Amino acid sequence: MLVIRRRTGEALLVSGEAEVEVLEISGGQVKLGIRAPREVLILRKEVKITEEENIAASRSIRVRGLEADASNREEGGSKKS
Amino acid sequence: MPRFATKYFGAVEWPDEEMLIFPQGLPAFEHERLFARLAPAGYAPIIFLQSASTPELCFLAAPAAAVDPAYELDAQSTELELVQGVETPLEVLVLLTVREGQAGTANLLAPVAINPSTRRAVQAIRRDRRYSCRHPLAGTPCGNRLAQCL
Repeated sequence: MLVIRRRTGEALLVSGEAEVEVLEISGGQVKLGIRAPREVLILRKEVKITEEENIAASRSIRVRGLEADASNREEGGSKKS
Repeated sequence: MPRFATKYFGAVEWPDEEMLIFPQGLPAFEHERLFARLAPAGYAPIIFLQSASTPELCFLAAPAAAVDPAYELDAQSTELELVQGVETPLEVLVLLTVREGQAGTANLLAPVAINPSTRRAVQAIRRDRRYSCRHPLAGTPCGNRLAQCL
């Protein structure tokens, strides 16, 4: 991992395209401002983790005593994976 | 009464006034706004969150307390604004994941908070680092029940 120290008001560039600026530091929190082209997706990491876990949770499993509808199961396997 | 196909229970009729409404859907499932909460006898504490629009989408869930009796929402989850408004304690469910050949886990990082008065629901991602998105269920009442179901 690359580690860089920055003060409030300082910024760094990623790939020369995305700019991340430190706007404010207080109470263990850092407020960042990000300037990037529209096509650059910016996501809080925990949202990405939640997306991945939700997809894993949505995968078909067999529940004893409950028969997943065969046609549904096939679709479920391909659509959501 | 709306009737829709489900993953495990065939076609069911479910009253509109009992549907859970996710105004933002869930992460990775943003278009899924309506879920029926099916709690068939014999599977408690496991709850089935069945999408009303996608038959093959059915999450397994459980009350957070069945996984960890001390569990509480993180008041800093910004998503909670979507379900607050009426002075009712929020109900908290956690989604369960079963990976092939492994014991089940519960997502304690991103619990589902439900306002029972409005039926509005949201997956409220924690801002703290207290819980894992793959909390092992082995040894909990919920884990034992889940193991019997698989």
